[in-house]
Amino acid sequence: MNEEQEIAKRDDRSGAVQSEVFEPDAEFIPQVDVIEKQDYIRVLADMPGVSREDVEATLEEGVLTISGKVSTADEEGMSLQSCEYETGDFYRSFAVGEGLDTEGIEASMQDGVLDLCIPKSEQYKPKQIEIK
Amino acid sequence: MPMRDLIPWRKTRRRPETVDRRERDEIQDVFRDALEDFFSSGADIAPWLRRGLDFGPAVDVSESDKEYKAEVELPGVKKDDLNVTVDDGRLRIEGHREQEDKDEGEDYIRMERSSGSFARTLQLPPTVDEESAEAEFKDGVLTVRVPKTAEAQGKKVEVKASDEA
Repeated sequence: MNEEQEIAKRDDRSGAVQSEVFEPDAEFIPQVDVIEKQDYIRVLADMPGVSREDVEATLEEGVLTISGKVSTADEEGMSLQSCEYETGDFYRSFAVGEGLDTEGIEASMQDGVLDLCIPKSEQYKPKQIEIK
Repeated sequence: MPMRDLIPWRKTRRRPETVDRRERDEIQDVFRDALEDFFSSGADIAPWLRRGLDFGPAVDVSESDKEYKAEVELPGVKKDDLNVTVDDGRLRIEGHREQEDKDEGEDYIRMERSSGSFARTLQLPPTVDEESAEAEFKDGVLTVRVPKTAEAQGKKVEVKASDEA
């Protein structure tokens, strides 16, 4: 099984972070990477054009929601010649599994990428068992 | 030759999260083949389509009386990994984006973001002042402005009323 198939398989199986998409007013669904680390789950979301002030992440009743606003101020005198991407706000929701400690989430925003770390609850962390 | 003749007019909407990387690569293959046919005249339009580059970021081009503006979405790219050059009638944007380092015992559960090397080349019309090109990189969006030469900047054509019978 190649790496891509393995990742897809893990995604199906892992209850840690599953994506649901509610139909948003926002136009775009940010692409994400979800990485399972030893002690936490890391979510990286691409939201180009969104500054730190305009990004929001909330966690409510097991649903993690990330959203970002893009300022679409039209420049005076500028007319679009060629358009390969559209700009618009971002929105995406995830169901967060039980093994995560939702109180301890840390988030940062840099260069249009939202970086979220959700620690695993104590009992779900891998433990070294001492052999007497 | 205006920029728009050489840049495909192609609106792309983000696709829903169910599209995984495999599918996206397949779709890119379709574009690659279609565009290679279309541009088989040999013009150096989209080098990212050639093998060796991992992804081709989307570009929006705008024009005003004073300048051309190209905007490229490059979230998560570090400034040091980004190279913008204007040379010989071409605007070239290239660089690479690193994937997160995977330590021992860590797994990607989901991977949607592209990584690797990228490049786009845009043909510039001859009526620009290459020396004065400027680039700004903010919140993952690169904005390149290339001013038009003084002569090319908005010559107003006065329309006189005709009094002919």
